[in-house]
Amino acid sequence: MMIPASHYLIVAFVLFSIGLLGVFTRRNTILVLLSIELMFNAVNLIFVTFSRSWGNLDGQVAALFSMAIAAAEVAVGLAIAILLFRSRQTIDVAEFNSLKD
Amino acid sequence: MYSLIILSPFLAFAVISLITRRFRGLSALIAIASLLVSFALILKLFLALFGIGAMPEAVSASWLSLPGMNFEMGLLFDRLSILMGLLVSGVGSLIFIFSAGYMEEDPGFSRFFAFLSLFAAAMLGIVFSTNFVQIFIFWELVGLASYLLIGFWFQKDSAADAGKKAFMVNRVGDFGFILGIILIWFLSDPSAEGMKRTVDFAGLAAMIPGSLANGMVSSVAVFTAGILIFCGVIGKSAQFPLHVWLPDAMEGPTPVSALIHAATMVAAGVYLLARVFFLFTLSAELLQIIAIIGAITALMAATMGVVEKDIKRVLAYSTMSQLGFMVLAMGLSDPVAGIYHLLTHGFFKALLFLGAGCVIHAVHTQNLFDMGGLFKRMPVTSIAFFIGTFALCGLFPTAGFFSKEEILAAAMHKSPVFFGVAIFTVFLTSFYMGRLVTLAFLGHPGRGQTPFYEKGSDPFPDEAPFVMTFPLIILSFLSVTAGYFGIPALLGAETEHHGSSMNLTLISSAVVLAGLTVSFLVYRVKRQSEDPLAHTLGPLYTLISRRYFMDDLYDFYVQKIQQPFAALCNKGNDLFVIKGLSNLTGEGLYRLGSLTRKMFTGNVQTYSLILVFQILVVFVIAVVFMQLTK
Repeated sequence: MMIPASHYLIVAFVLFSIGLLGVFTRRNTILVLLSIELMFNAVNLIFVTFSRSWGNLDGQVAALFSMAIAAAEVAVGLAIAILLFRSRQTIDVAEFNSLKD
Repeated sequence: MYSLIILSPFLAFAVISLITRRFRGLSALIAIASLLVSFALILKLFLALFGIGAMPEAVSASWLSLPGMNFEMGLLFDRLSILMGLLVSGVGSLIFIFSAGYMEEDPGFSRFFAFLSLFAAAMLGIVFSTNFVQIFIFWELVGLASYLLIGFWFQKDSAADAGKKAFMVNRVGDFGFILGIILIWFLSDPSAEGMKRTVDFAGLAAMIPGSLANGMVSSVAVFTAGILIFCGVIGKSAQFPLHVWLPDAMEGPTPVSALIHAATMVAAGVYLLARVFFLFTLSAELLQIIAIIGAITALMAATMGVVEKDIKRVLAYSTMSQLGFMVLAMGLSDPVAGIYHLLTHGFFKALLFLGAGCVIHAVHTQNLFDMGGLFKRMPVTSIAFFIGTFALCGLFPTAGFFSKEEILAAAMHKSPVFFGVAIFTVFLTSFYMGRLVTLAFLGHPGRGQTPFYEKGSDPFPDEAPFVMTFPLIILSFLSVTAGYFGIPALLGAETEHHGSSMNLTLISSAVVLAGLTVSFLVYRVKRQSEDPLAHTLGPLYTLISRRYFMDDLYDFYVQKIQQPFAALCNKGNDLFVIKGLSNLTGEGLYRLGSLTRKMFTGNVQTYSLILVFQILVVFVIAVVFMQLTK
């Protein structure tokens, strides 16, 4: 039995929402990064879903690209997190407010 | 090609100030050469007057074209402009050459020549102008150049102030001038004739008398326009009551004084009178007022010259007085005599100022009572100065004699009152010039308390270098011979030629000789540092030496009336415009800013929330829009 595309999309939407909520509420920098990854994966899921339903490979290629970019982004993001910790002795995002005013 | 007359000194100004400022000699060379180019071109025009070579047509090009009005820039070639141009460029060149010697040690040498070039270019622009707007532009340029040159030694407060004063006082007159130009523009109503409104001299000269005759223009309007234009003349030619800037202008370097007094600046006013004489001659009252102003200035300046101790200021007052003579001649509707005197005066006044420059260069003082006995040390300068003095007094056979005689004849012809004032002024002129010469050149050196040779750096003054005496010699020659060139005939004396009657010659010569003799007898006494006239004249002396309190009057007006008024306006402006409007706008925006800045907490998560919210809003709008346009 073929699972309809809407099911995949609902999962992706839930996944994305959980990630978004994490980005907004989590105070730990690492967890914020993790939430962003969740959103990435939700989008990848949508890519693959539409690739299946339309019967071509464009979406899968895009998903692969997206994963590569996500990997690079995590590397940079973690490096930033480490540097932030070194300079501020904390990874609480609420503390990083020197852009205020 | 002839536009080079104006352009060449103007280019010199640009080149010197932009490129060659560092090279002193080159700058001077460029300035002198550029003016000599103008001189050569004008000389060519001058020869064309006698049929040697072709007379070029007047050139003009559209400068500013607006719906319903068209202003032109052009060159006007007639006897008046060519003779005047010859004076400006010729005497100007000599003064330029003199400056190369006089300013040799000045650090601002190149700047000086740049400004001089600008001055000469602007003045030549006035001389060859074809219309009121063009003449006004160059008129203002002359004002600017005079400001720069009078305040050339701007490190000195007095010089900076004098420059400002000259500029401001001229501005008062020029305001009247520009109003007059606007009025003239409206008077040149074309409705009936099918002609265009114009500010062109030739067009106006053809139009205004006709419109006045057939009643299209009222005589009051012509009178008003004439008075307003005359305001410009009063300012520029230092006539009463706007004469106060001229004595202070002596703060500038001496060659500048020579230039201002002989060829440029003050000559511009008289030239303008002659140029638009067709307008002034339409109203008898106007001429009367001009004559009265001229007579007052002539007499007033002469009396002030009598009590002045500064050699340059004496000459300044003499210029004022002679300008009064010229304006008087215009008022007596004898413009030829006025311009004739302007030309000869240009020669001998340049001579006198350059001579004074040599003296100051040598003795480092300007106080007459510190000088004396210079004749033995500076023979060339002294003889040149004597010639200039005789020409200024109007002694036969110098040039000044002929031109002054013309004016006196016109005055005698028209009104005994003006003649009386004029002849008394002639007496005063010869008196103060005799006084100057006696104090500075005759007698023994160091008649004052502190002789000049102890003040100056040199042990004793010596004759000026050749580059400075050379212009003196040429100018001396011209001051003597300019009366024999038949200038009045060249100017095309249409008005009846008064000639000089024997009686008049006898009277004026006797008066001049009397003046010279009296002053010689009074000031011959050795070792005096005080003016003996101070005792004789008593309170009158105070009145005159304070310049009739005119400066105090202006000071009072500016400080006690104008300044408080300005302060009041300033306060009102502060209250309503700045506090009211500007601050309202500013404060309002500030408050708005304080509200929105609360959004910016520095918290990354808040920012991202806002970001997502905004994306959603844009998305919703886009979707709604797409639905609507479907």
